[in-house]
Amino acid sequence: MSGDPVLSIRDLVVRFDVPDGTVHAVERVSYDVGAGETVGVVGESGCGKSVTVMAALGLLPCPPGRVVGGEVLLEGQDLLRLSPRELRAVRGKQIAMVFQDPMTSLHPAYTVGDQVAEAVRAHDAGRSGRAAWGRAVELLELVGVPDADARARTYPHQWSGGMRQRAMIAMAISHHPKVLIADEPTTALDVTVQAQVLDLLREVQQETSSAIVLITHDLGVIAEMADRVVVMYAGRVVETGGTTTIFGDARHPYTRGLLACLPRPELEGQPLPAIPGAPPNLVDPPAGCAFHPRCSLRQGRARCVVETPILADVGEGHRAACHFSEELARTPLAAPPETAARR
Amino acid sequence: MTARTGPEAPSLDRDVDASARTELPAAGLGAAVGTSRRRVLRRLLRRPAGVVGIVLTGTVVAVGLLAPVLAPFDPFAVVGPSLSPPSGAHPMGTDALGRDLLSGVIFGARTTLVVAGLVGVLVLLIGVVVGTVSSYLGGWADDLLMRLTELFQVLPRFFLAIVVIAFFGAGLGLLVLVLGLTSWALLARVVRSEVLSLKEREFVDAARASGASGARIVVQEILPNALPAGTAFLGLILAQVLLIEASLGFIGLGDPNVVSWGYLASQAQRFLRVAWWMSVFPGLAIAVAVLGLNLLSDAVTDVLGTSR
Amino acid sequence: MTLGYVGWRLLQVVPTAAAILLIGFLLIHLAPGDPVLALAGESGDAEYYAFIGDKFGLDEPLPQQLLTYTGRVLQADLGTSYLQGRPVAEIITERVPATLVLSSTALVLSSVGGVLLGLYVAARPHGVRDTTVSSSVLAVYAAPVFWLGQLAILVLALGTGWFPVQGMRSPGSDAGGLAALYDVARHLALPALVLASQEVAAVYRLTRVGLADELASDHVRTARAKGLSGRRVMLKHALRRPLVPVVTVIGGRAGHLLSGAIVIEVVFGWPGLGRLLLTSLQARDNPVVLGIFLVVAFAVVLANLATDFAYRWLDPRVRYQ
Repeated sequence: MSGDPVLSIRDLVVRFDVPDGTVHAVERVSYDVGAGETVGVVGESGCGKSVTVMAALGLLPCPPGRVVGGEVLLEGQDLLRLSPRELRAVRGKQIAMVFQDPMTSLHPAYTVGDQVAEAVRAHDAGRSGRAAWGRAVELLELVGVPDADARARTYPHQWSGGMRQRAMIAMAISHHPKVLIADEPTTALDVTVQAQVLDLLREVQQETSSAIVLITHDLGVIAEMADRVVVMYAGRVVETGGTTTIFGDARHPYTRGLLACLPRPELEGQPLPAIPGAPPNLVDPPAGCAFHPRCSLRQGRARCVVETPILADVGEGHRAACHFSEELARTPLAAPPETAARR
Repeated sequence: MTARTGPEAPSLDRDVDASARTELPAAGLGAAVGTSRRRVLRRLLRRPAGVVGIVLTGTVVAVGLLAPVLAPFDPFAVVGPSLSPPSGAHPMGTDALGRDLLSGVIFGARTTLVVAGLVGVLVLLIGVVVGTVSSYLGGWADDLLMRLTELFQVLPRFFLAIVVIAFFGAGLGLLVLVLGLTSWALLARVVRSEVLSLKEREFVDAARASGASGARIVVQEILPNALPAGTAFLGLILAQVLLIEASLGFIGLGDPNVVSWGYLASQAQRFLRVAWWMSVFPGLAIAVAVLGLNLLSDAVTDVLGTSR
Repeated sequence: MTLGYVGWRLLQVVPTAAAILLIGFLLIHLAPGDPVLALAGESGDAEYYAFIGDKFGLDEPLPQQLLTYTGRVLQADLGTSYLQGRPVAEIITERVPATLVLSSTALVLSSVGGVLLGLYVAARPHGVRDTTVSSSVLAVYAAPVFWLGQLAILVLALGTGWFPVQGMRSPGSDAGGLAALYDVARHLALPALVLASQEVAAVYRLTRVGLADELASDHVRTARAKGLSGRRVMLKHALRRPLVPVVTVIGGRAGHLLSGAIVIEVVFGWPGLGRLLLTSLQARDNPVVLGIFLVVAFAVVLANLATDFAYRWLDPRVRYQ
């Protein structure tokens, strides 16, 4: 990352008030996104990776959600301090989002063209309806929707999942956003379509020179797309670093666990390994390091239960939150990362 | 799961039906509950709607049962000056003939109780039988019964009751019969979807595997579990029945031999300018009974829904 | 919505209509006493009875009579009012406009009011606002409509004198044009409001529940992520789908609405079907009572049919299947 980050999340804390208590969904999460770079945020579902960005954009349903503290700086301006109106001017213009499920993310009762044109006009009120429609068709063509002019007049249910996700991307890039947040953009799609959508994201990034925050639980997608990786567990960032560094020299046992779960050609036919146990209940998170109940590195050491590890530098632009991360430096990963091969 | 936990609008056939269609087939409300009635009651008492519903409904039931003890006068007897406003002797005032309104309202509760009780039994009988038979037989029998159910849902009951009474003469028995025979459609649908969902459940499979007959499975295993959801909707149906009964009384089609709240309110119509109390108290009584049933049903549906 | 569907749905109405006819027929024949009396009332003379007996073919076998009866009703021949000596259809037709004005005004008021209340509460659910609105709506819904009418008269008409108490026109007023319209509107205000206030509950609850679902939905999140204004998100995106069932229940509410209208007419002396029904009941003018039942029942069936079509048309997913 060079120069000032375009988006900088600082010590963000988000809680949810539920009948059973308070969910500590996001605990002092910080990460930066540089201009034009792609940051992959990875973790199991419920680890707070989506909640972080939703909170940043004021899209959390509140109640039950509430942002307790922290800053979200877009080129130095704290989004959390903006009025709803000011924040609205940021959403869809400077920061745009692509969501997980294209089947439900479009309104079923309006044509796709109408919804894309609406995104165009949202920050360009001077544009006429006709001009916005023209721009919408242009955008749909740009994201590879065939016969865009005619298809724009049809309803989402007449579109395939992959095509709908293209339409979502068309909406998101309509104002050349500085940051494009893609929240599990390929999870709901067929494998073959996934690759196409990822390719499309890379293409539009070149077109718009946006930074991309790619939220996923799939390290394969990260390997293919991201310049840097942020690994989250139980509402905290547990490791962050360059993609090659993370894949080659992960220093958090959770990251190691995730990497071990990646399918590998030489292990074809064998069942995929999985991290034992389940993510903790965030109403009552484990004391100390939240990962300790599942950790293979802990080996009964008391410090893991008592003291919450902080995110500390372990190398050049590489930080990990584990008391014993240096132990991992001596144990190389079982297999080399496939990053290069995949690309 | 959607956030639709209860009927969107109580006691309007169409709406409740819509929720029954979207929510109940997957619900199987019954099974979760059949295990512990006491828990349902406890949850009911934790909700304001449940508490208010129980208190209001309970009051009406108690007053109806104890009417002869509670009422200071015979509701038909002339016991004071005509059209006298509420006072110590007549807390709700008197009507044009000098009859005590409080006694009328108290005995009106008894009529309400009789109507609601008898119509409730009829509705429960027909609704449960139609719903169970329909879902159990399936096929053309199911189609036929559901068409019949739809017919009764569309039929404007109030008007049907009016013509029937116009042709056959006013009477409590006929009133109960007409309202009972025409008000079961919603319940039949609810029971049908409950049974359909319960039919798929394991304990029915277990009973079937042990060689129990179809009818026996329905009566012993399915019905007891389908009934809680059914009774929640029965409350909504009865609330509606009470409003219809009151309206019939209001336009002069009630049983002339018993006091009913609708009849009392109809007496008020001509004296609105001089005797507000004749309208206010009987109407309030109806509203209390109907509100109580609606709240209770809502709360029960809610409790059954969340204890799933 | 294909033509095939329309045809199929129309066909479905036939058994319902037949059942309604059968009910009317059975009532005439099952009622205690002579069906001639049931049809003609009790105070006609012998010649009139003979006329009615002949007209309805009451000497023929029952199935034949049912056919004759069906034929007559289908030709809008609902018999003759013994009280007025005129065709029932004619008498009813005269009264329909007043009832229609009252109930359609109430329908519009309650639909708009219910949706507005739903929007108002959905903007801030689970608060004081929610509790207040929801419980008032529920309370009004539980109150019998004639009582609300009486209370409105007590408080708003007699208490303040702002509204007339009875009727559709001021007595002795022969003003025309706008003045007449204003006069009717002033008379209409209270009965329509009372009727609407009862009907608000269904629309309000549907809107509220629907909006709550929609506000939590992915597509509304998309709309907000686009940077649309709160108002636009609410009105264009969140409200669109809940409006479909709101429109759809209008048909289901037709029976309820007309029942309420009948009772409210009695309370406010509104000269529509309700007043006609009351006088006919008091005079035991049974042909008119039965006629009103048939007209209302068919109207309700048609309203259900219409909303079914409206529902199909409003939902593009169903429309294009």
